[in-house]
Amino acid sequence: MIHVSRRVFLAGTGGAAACAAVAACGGGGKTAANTYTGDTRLVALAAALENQAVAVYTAALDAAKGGRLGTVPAAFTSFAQTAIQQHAAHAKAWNALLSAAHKTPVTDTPLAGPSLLDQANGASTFAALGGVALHLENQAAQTHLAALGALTGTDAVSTAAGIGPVEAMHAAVLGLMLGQSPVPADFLTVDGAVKTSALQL
Amino acid sequence: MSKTTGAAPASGIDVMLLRTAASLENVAAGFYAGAGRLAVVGEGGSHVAAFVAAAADHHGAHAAAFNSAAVRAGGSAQHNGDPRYAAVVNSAMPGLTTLFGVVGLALTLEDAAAQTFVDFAKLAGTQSVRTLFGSVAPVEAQHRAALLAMQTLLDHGPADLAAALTRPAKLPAAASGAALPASFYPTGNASAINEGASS
Repeated sequence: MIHVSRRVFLAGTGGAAACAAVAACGGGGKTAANTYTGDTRLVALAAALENQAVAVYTAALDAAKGGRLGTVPAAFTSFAQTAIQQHAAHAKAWNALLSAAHKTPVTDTPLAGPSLLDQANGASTFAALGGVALHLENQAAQTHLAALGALTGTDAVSTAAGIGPVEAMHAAVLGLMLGQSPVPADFLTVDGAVKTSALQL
Repeated sequence: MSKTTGAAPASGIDVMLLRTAASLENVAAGFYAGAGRLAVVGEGGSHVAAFVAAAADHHGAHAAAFNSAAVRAGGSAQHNGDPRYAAVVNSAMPGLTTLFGVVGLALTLEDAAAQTFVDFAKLAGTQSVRTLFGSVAPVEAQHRAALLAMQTLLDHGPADLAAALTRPAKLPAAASGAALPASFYPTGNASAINEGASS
């Protein structure tokens, strides 16, 4: 079960009046439902990254179909379609945990830093697009590993444990399509994990 | 565990998980080392040979990491192979005469390890051990993805596999589809926590 912070509990019991009386309740527009701390912040970040992945692969398929990437491996279309389905399933699982914790699901990509979608849209070759997708998958796998080490709720830990390897498999298949090693390292690290500070919520 | 004694201490459970994990890695490392010496592996070309060599190294590193963690948790290193999968390998190896057979056996071992480490990540009693399992399971999963793609490419023979791996732009759709069978890594076939823990 995801832990509910004291700040959220106070806001939930007294609404805006109680929230106004507590200095730590945050700025305008913030409610208990869209305030993410502790486990819920990690889960919200994971959901945002999955939404990003769906957006990137959707854009990539459009670009490939429109001939904007030059020669594209025959394997890419089915790969991207599968990746979209799987990342959408991941986002659904993470958002189910947010809903269970009475938090607003994350349905877009509120992330600071360079936009991977912009980078994907700017790609003019499959190699460039593939590089963006590979970065996305490695980043997602590493962020799930970082979350696995920090989460406290049993369901959230279980979800992170089951998703991280699948993101890594996406990276392996991309590696094959890019002519790279599908398994470049003996251990997954967290060097490239996205921090919760990047979540713009 | 009885209600009066309560749950086993985290370190006790972790030692069991880590020794079983090391035993699985010992089997995998030994298998790949042996497979690398088979002539049929060479039929798949340099990329397959490189994959086999790298996998042997990876599993050796994983075994070392699990054993180091087991010692830090108060246990001892496990240098024996998991009995269930050691029996599978010992039974199959003499009859491995095709690259398809080698890939099939490798898939069995990689999936067993990945499922087990995903499960053990959830069961680990300490954060550091959970993170260790979380850092290894994805690598076994990547091994599996690559092998699933190879297995599909082998449908037309080792020569086609070798050719496909040297021309990634020509990788067929079936290869990528086969390599990603599930949205969430399953754990239904994970090893029991004490499967390889005994000396």
